[in-house]
Amino acid sequence: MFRVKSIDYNSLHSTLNSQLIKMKESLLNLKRRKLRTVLTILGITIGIFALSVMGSLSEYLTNSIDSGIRYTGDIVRVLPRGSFGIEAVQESLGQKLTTLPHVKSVTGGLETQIDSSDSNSNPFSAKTAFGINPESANDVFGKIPLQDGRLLQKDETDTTVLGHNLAAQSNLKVGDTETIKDTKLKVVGIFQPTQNNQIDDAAIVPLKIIQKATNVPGIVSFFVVTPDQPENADLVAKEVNDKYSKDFNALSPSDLKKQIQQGLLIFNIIILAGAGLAAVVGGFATINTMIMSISERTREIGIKKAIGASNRQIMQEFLLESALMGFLGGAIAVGLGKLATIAINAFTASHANGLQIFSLTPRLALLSIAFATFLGAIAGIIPAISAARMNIVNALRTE
Amino acid sequence: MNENNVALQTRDLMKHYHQGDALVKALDGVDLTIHKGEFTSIMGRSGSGKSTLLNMLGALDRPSDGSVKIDGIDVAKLSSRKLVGIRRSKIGFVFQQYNLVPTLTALENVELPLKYSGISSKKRLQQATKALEEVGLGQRTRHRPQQMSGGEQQRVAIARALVTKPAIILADEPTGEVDSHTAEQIIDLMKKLNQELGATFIIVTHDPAVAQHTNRIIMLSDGRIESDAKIDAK
Repeated sequence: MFRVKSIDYNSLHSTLNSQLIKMKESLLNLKRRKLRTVLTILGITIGIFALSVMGSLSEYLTNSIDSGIRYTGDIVRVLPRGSFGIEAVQESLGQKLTTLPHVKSVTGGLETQIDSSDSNSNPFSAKTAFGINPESANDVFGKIPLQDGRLLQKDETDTTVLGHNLAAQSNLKVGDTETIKDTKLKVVGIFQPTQNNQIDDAAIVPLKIIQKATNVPGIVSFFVVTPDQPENADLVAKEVNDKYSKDFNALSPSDLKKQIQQGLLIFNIIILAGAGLAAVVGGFATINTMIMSISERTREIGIKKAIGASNRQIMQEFLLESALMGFLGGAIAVGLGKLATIAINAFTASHANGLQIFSLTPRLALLSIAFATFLGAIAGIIPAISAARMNIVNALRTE
Repeated sequence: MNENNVALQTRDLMKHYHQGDALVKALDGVDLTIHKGEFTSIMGRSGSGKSTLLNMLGALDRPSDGSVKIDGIDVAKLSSRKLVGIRRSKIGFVFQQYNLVPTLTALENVELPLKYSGISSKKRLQQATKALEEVGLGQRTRHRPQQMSGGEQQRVAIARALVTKPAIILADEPTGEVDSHTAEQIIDLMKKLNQELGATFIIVTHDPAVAQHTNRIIMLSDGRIESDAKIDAK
């Protein structure tokens, strides 16, 4: 005979209902030993709190680096190589690079710090002025979305485009005038926030102005090579390094990405290992609690088995209980973590130029809670198995 | 007697175990037949094998030798998984210390065996409510064990044993924890359920006053049946 399988809403409802009853029983069992449960959950909370706060630092860095790669991944940065490593060179040296295959354009730039009288300046990122030829602005910065206005244009000498933070801190809008290196410049554009301090704290300025202000006419500190096709960026970098290794050091976008990601990976491993360790300690506290709880309820387990509970049903019951402790610990930890990151961000923002280095993303929050629940369930496995395998006759004899 | 009318049957039932070097013969050849609808008590001193016998009859433990047929099924060699099935469908337990789950209400406690059997919540509610009404606790379904007297808790336990309509209800010293007045009420309730619903009861007790209420008294001694007598219940 064939059995037609259709959705039985009644049984679906009843399954859901019995899950809720199970959940309620687990909660009540946890409530039975309030202090012990609270302490155990606290153990998990501390671990997951550490995990979520440290994780949010790592999230911030990952996002920041990702956006850096996204906005400048198609161009090749070429640094001049001198006898003392990286040096400033004549702008005309860049001519050599234009003859290489797959090169669309080459432009020189000069990078300098903007003097800051603000003693509370962000220690991670100084305000920087990038001097470039206005006609190359689109090749170099064209991928960064503008919040307002436009990029520098050909032959302009008294305009600037500002990073989001720089503009926000000085309360500047398009059309305002900003003095950089003693030169009055008209703000023509403002970038959207990119989560990358190098961009957010930068001012894009015509090259000549920086050269004049720093008294080095015709000198640049880096070149930007734009390939004919974005996918040729690595190829161009390789050409530069093969042919002109004496003069230049080209950073291929993918090498750069690899380098940064390796550094980030090591950083992530260190902080997550530390936080993970804290979480595992919480897990051990849960194991301990579950073992105690099961030895106290030996008789109850015997009764349940006598009236028809299978080993599997007993196991599920205890697993649910320990997973629930993990979940509660995780949820509280993420809540506290969110408060902590808000507080720390507010503090650093007011003391260090809008610096916000923790970002507890929804992804991280969900992951933390899921990890805590998983940790609770894992911690419950061995105690739950021992409960399920308990000999009924002996369990019933326990007082 | 008709074979179909047999609720429980043991043949040469043995349970031996080692205690240190000594071999303890807790059950040493028990032959016993209980028919459906009987109201039986098992008596004996402590150590006579009463509890061991109850464990065998309730499919909680396996014998060393011999057979135990519960509602026609020989459970002596069944796997533990199958024994769970037998306990769910054929047996109801009433324990000495009521043994209700403290975190659950009376109704939820009675629903528990049905839940383990995978009965839908709607049916569970119906059957459990009915069972509670049968023991006279239709009004106290939402109370938790600690809010109830010993006698009431034991009645909830009886409802829990009854709710799956088992072939046999096994009661282990059901009146051991209550005063004599309450004990009388409990035994009267079981008797009423036996007469009205035809439920088969086996009551292990050391209290002759309780045994006097049953229709058959089996005396155990040193793991053997010493006497087995039908009596006119009080």
